[in-house]
Amino acid sequence: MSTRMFQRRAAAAIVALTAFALIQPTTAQTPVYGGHFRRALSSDPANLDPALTNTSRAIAVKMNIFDPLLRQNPRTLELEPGAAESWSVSQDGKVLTFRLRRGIRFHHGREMTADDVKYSIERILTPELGSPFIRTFDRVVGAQQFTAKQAREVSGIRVLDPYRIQITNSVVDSTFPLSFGSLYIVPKDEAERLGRDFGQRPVGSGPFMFVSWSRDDSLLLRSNPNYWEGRPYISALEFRIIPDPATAQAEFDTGRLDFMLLSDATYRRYAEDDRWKAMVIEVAELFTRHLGLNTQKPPLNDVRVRQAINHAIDKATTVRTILQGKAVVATGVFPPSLNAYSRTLRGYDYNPQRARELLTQAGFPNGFEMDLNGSSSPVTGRWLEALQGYLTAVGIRARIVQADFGVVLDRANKGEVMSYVLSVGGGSNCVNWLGPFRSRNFGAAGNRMFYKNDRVDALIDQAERTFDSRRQIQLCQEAERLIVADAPWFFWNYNKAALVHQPNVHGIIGNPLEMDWIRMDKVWIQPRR
Amino acid sequence: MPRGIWGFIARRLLLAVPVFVGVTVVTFALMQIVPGDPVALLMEEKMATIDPAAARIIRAKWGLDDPVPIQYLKFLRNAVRGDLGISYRTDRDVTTSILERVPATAKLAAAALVLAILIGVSMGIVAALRQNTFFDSASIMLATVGVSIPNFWLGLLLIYLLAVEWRWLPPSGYGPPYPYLIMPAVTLGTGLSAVIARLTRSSMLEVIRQDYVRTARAKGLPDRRVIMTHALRNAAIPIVTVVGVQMSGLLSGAVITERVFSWPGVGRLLLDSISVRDLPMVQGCVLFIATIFIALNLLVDLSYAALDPRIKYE
Repeated sequence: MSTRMFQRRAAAAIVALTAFALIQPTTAQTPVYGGHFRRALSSDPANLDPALTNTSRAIAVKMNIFDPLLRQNPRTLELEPGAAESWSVSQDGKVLTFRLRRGIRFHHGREMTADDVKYSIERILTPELGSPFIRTFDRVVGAQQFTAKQAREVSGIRVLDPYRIQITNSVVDSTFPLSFGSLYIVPKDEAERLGRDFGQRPVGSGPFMFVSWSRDDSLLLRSNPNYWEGRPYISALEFRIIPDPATAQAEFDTGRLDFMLLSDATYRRYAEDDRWKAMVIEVAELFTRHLGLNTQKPPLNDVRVRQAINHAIDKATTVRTILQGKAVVATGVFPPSLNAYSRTLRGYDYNPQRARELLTQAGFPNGFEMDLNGSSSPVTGRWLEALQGYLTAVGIRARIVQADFGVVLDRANKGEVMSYVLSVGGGSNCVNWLGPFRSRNFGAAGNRMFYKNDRVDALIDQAERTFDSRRQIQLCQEAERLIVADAPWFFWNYNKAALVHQPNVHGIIGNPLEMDWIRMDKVWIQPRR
Repeated sequence: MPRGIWGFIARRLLLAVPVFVGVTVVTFALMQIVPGDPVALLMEEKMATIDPAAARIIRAKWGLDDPVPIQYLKFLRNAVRGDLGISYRTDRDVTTSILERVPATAKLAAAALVLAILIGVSMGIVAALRQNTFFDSASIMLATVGVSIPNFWLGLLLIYLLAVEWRWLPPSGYGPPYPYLIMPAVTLGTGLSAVIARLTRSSMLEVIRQDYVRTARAKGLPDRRVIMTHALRNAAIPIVTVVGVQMSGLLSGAVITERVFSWPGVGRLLLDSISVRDLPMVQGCVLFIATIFIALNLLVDLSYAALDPRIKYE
C-alpha cells in the first residue's frame, strides 16, 4: 500500500470512527463536560470569606471556591486529603504536621504554600476580623498571645518548608484534626489586597472560580480549568437565591433548577412518585431533633417527670404523620449516620401508662403545667401541636409558645423556658455531639437544659483526650446511655435529608453533615436530546 | 409655580430632621428591646452553640460592648456624615447594600403602580358613570375580591398557572421586564388597583353631581372632555393622596411579593436583617423608607396645587 493510499484510508477510518462516536449515545456512566448547573439557596450567603461565614448556605458556595486543608468523605465521614496530601499526629497527640500538595494554584495564578496555611489560621485569630472560628484554633500554642497582640505570630505554627507546616496544640484534643476539615486556605496576597471586599469577591484554589454576585438574586461561578484534581465537569455553576420553597418547587418542576432540597411537605410527592423516586437522594442527616427539657425548672428537675415525657409521646406516629416519613425515630443522642450510633440502645418506648405511673411517683398524679417553645414557623407549630396532644393525654397541660427563632433561642439560653424544640448536630465526631450535655456549656454554649452529671462530664473529657477511635466511641456511648437515662431531652427523631435532581444530572453524593454541601466538581449533566 | 412654594419645601425638609431622629431612636430602642442577640443569631445558626470567647471578640468588633446610649450616639454621628455603618451579617457597607437593591424595588413598585392606576382609575370612572348597572356591581365585586386576595396566594396561583401549567412565564427571578416583571407586578398591583377603583368611583360620583360638571355639559362640551378635564381632575385629589401613600409602601418593600418571586428588593433585605438583628442594616433600611415617605408625601402635597389652583402654599 502506497503511503498516500494509507493516509487516505487512515483519514477515512478516523472520520468514520468520529462519526460513529458522535452518533453513539453517551452512557449514563460516562461523565460529560459542559453545561450550566443551577441550584437554589434559601437565602443569600451574605459573605464568602471562609474566616467569617458559618451559615450552611455560605459553606455550600465557599466549599466550591476554596480548598480545605483536609476533607471529610461524605460517605465514610473519615478525614481525607484536601490541600494537604498527607498529615501526621505526634505520639503525645499535640503536634500535627501537614504536607501540602505541590502545584495547587490559586485562581489568580500563584501557587499555594505553607505560608498561606499559616496566614489562613492567623487571620482567623486576628480579633479585628471577628471570626466565629476563633475558638477553633485558640488552643494552638501562642494563639492567645497573638490574639491579645502580645505576639506578632502564633508560635505554635511553624512553616518547615514551602510545602510543610507543623501546628502544635497546647492540649490533647482528639477532635482537633477535624478543625482542618473546615480550614479553607486563602491566598495571603489577595486577602490582604482586597481587605473587607475579599468576602464579596473571593479568590480561592477550588474547582470553581468566582464570576459575579447579584445579591439576593444569583451567584455565578465558572469551572477552574487548572484545578489540581482535574477540571470540573460542569462549566458554570449558578446559585439562585429562592427563599420561598413553593417557588423553588415551581422552578424545579419547570426544569430551571437542576436539583432541589426536599422539605417535609414535598418529600413524599417525589419519593413516592414512580417518575421521580429514582432521582431522590436521601441521607440520615447528622442532626437530632429533640425537645430540650430545662432540668433546673420544677417539676422538670425530677428525672421521673422527664422520663414520663419521653414515654408519653408516640414518636413513630409523629414521624410517619407530621414529618411525612422524612425522619427516623430517635433512641438517643447519636443518629444512625454517626459511627457512635448504638444499635443496642432502646431509648424510650411509647407507653402512656408508664408515663402516668412515673408522674404519680414524682408526685404529679394530676399532671402539671408547662410551656412548649418553638420558632414561629407553621411547621414548628404543627410539631408543637402534636406534642401537646400526647402530653395532654397523660395529664401534662402544655402551653404552646411560638416566637421568632432568635427570641426562643435567647430565652432558652437564659434558662427562662421549660422546654424548646430544636435540632442540633455535632458533625462526624461523637465528642462534639456531647458538647450540649457538658456542664461547662450552660446556656448559649449549648447546654440549654442546664443538665449536669459529673460522670457524663468525666466521660466526655476522657473521650476528648482519646485518639483511639474505638475507645472513644465506647466512652461516648457510655455517656450517651447515662444521658438517655437522665432524659434532659425528649429524644424525638433524626432528620432525613433528601433532594431530588433532574433525570440528566449525575454524580451527586448526599452529605449527611449537611445536604446542601455537595462537591459540585464531581457532578455532571447529560445533554438533553 | 405657586407663590411660597420654596418656603413650604424648606419648612417641610426642616421638619424631616426630627422625623429622621425620631425614626432612628424608635428603631434603635425596638431592636434593643426585642429579645435575640445578634452575635448569637449569626454564630449559632446551624450548630446552635455559641462560643463565649468568639462572641466577646465579635461584640467588640461591632461596638456592642459599649453602653447602649453610646452605641446610638456613635451611629448618629456617623449617619450625619453619611456613613450608615457596616452590616453585621454581610460585613459590607450598608448604604451600598441598600442602593444596589433600589433599582429592583423601584422597577417593581413603578410597574405595579402603573398597572394599578390604569386598571383602577378606568374601572372606577366607568363604574361611576354606569352607577347601579351590572358593570358597577361587577367592578365593586372585583374590587372587593382584589383587596381580599392575599399577595402570597395570588402570587403562587399565578406561578402555578402561568409558569408551571402553561409555561408562558418563568416562575421567578430578576431579569428584563419581559418576562420577569409581569407576575410580580400583577400580584402587587391587583390589591392596589382595587383600592384605587373604589376610591375613584366614590370620588367621581361626588364630583359628577356638582354644578360645574352640569354647567360643562350644558355648554355642550363633549362627554369625554367633561369627564377627563373637569370631573377627573377634581376627583383626583383623594386618589393622588392614596396613591402617594401606597407608593411609599411599595417602595419601602413589598416583602411578600419579593419573597414569592425571589425579587431582590429592599423589603427582603429588611426582613432578613431583622431576623438576625442586623442593627446597622435595619437602621439603614428604615431610614431609606422614612426618606421615601417624606419625599413622596411632599410630592403629593405639591401636586395638590397642580390639580387645584386654589391651593396656596403659605
